[in-house]
Amino acid sequence: MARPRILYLAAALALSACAVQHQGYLLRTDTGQKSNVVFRDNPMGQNGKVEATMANGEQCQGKFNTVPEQVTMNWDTNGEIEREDTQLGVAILQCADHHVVRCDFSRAYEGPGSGNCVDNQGQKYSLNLE
Amino acid sequence: MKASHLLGISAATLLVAGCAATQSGHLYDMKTGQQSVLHMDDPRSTNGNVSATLPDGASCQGQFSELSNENARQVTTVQPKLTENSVASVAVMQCGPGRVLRCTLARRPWHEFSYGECQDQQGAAYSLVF
Repeated sequence: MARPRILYLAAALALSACAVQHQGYLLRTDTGQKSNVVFRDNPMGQNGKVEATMANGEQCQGKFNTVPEQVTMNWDTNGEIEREDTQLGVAILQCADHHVVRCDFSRAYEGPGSGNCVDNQGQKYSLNLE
Repeated sequence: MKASHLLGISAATLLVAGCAATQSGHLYDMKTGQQSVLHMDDPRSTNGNVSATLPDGASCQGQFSELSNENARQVTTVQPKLTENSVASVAVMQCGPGRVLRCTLARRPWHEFSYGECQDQQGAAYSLVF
């Protein structure tokens, strides 16, 4: 029994090691206040979780998901997508008291990108991913 | 029954269940910040059933079907970001008498849904992330 447990643990560790995290920030377009944001990609690099700490200390959590934009095709396998060079995505963060922030973003395969966000109070933000 | 038969039946059941899975997404009222859930049946298929409960408690039932990006732009008023390498689907749901919710959804070809936008005929807008 010990060996399967070790294998499961190793597999879980390997998967978590593949989950890449990208730091970024939100800039309020009216005041320029900066809030930190973290995108935690699932191993496939197509979706994941997102967290932010707003300038006023408000904590926000949510999900993001993407679709391929520019791609590299593999013509040896009937033109299957080999690599998603850039992606378009949507992130929705839920903060306190029904405060919701929605971001539309574009990012490179390696993670850097940018986007625009708006919350349900009409506040706009610029998103930068490093 | 032989163990190999049981194994075969189990594998077949898992295969069928895997192909007919349901995908859940979070639906956010972008005015109030309230959240609810939307379910897509057979989400890798080109068409299927969709159901949702709106934040105000209204229950919605309908169908989704895949179509070209251009046609998706023409048949709904909401415009999530679509690319040449993504696939668009439109879902139309009846949410009680006289209330219709229309959604445009984006996903990778042959994959589950990524994100979307919805609007009812009164103009209430919802953002959707899977």
